[in-house]
Amino acid sequence: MFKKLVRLNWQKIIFVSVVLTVVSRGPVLAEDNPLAQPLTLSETKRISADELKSHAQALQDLYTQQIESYKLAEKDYQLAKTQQTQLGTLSSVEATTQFARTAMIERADVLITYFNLLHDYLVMADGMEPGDKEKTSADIIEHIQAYQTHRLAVSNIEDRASLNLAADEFDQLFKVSTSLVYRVLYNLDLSQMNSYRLTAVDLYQQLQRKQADLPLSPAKLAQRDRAYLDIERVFAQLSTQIEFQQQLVADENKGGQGIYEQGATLLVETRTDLIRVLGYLQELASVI
Amino acid sequence: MPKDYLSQTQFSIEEPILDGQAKMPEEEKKVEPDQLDKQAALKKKRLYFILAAVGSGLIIVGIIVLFGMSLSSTPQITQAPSPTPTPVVVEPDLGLREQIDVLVDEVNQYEKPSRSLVFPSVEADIRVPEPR
Repeated sequence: MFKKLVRLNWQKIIFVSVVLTVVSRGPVLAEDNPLAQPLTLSETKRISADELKSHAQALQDLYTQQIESYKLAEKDYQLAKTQQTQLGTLSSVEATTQFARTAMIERADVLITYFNLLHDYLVMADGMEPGDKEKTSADIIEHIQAYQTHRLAVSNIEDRASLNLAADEFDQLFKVSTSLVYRVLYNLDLSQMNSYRLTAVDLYQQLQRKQADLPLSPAKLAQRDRAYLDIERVFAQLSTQIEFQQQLVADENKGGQGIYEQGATLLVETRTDLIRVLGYLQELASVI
Repeated sequence: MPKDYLSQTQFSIEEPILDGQAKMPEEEKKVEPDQLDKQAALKKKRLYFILAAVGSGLIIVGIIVLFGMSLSSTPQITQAPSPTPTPVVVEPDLGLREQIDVLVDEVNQYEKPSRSLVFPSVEADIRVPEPR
């Protein structure tokens, strides 16, 4: 027991010190940054919700620093590219190559941190099917690893031609990124709505239990039962809607952005129905 | 025969002690019940003393035992792990109606989690142009 406590405390100390070290430093390159490695689902089960939130916050801070640094690097690259077009000298080509290389590395860092942050949000999300969560987690981790490989390749490149080849590979990777990101974002929005629905169902069941022993006249009882039927009809409708949207997310043939746009409209409908059923619950609860 | 006053101090002065052997046994007979009383009183004293000592001893032992019991019983309550954990009755902080109201507020103020995770706008096309 004591050993376990000591071990837990050490784990916490190490975790906090790692997070603090990372946050206190300036823009950190992915290869020497412990936050560059995503927390796996099994790892996240071993840490508390507060630690997970701290991890996400540390990633958010790192992301802010990295995006600022990247924007400067991108600006330098754009200037060098313009100068190269204007001057056409060998030294301007060399300068563009170096600035492009730096910008590509920093871009990869930004994307790695972003996907890590996305993964943390996925882990923290309620109302998502466990199987779906595991699959999405695996997809994100695989994607992070692909960016890490790309980053390593770029950092080993010195010449212009190889850099442009790496840029071609990045194009393919980035297309997958866009699709994956929108798919995950929609899944997060949907799971949040599903979490509300599940809470509403739970509250409805509690309400039914509380009202079961109320001394009501037969007419009132019949009226209450009709209200229950109406509520259950809306809940069934909500369940069908969310099930359909979950299938939409799982459809591999559809692009992420399309799913996100279609899903956004569906989510509005689901939210309207949820507000309606909650209004019914409020009305019924006033009888208690 | 000289008078032995030392051994006869218990006699009153008014009563003359007559010389003569015939008197002596009578006198001795008078002394015996007093000595017996003294011995009995002494025995009683001893008995009372023993009883008091035993009694006070028992009281002290009793106090020690009670004190010891009270000392040993306190940690048993606080330190000994309960065989079955006491079920914690979690009373919801809010009533059912309040819980519904809170949920209504949350749904009304629903903000998509995706809004705080906007995909970074990065330059997708970083390339070095062909020298001309």
